Amino acid sequence: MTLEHYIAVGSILFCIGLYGALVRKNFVLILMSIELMLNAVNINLVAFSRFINNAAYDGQIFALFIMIIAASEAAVGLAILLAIFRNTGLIETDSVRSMKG
Amino acid sequence: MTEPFLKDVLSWIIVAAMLGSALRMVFHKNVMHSAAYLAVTLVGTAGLFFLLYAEFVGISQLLVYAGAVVVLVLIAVMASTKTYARMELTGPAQTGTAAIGVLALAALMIYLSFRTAWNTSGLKPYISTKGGDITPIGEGILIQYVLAFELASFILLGALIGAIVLIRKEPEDAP
Repeated sequence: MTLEHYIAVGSILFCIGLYGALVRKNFVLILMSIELMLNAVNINLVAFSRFINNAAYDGQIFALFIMIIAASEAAVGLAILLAIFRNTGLIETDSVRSMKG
Repeated sequence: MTEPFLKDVLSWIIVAAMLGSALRMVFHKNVMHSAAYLAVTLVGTAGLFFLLYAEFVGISQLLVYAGAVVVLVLIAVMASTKTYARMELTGPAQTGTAAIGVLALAALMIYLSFRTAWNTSGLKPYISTKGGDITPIGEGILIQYVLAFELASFILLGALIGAIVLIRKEPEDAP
């Protein structure tokens, strides 16, 4: 596989995740789709790090940072989700119509 | 920059499994099955990282994504069991618009990636000495990107405390 193939794979994965985040109503599915999008970006970064520059490891380091952000995003997002579920009994986007608790 | 044939075949098998399970994840009506397909996709990504000679990132991917994040998602699914086995979608107008937009975006990105003249002359050689690629990654994190590294630790701490505060039950005998 060449660099273009890796970028194509990352693009397709990103678009699948974007479609899931736009189309599904379940909060868990939306969060999983966002994880998929971040993951697709990681594929691109690691592929760049291998194919483009001879000495630098910047791509892999950026991928590690994205991993950190994704982990904390998942933790906080799922905590918010469980708080919403505790208040409304639903985990769909329609269940959150007001900001009042 | 020709790769060995067997490695190419392995890459394409992993890519096919990843894309298929990603599609199944988005279109499956049971959220539990979607989480399983997400795990397959994340493990496949780790396999791609290994094939790209990024062992440390691959192992981190296995630990953080396929380990921690999938477990978190599974806990969230099991704690909110009311919406099993029902395909909840937004309206057909939004679904159609999203499909068209996403397909156009994918086509545009793939077209641009094949059209761009990437400078791929400097293919990184595989470091087979002791430590592999951990040494340059560690130097990069702790020298060039040390500020981002410290900020990331603050973000993790904030996320930890925030998650605990959000999930905490109010005490029953609160005044």
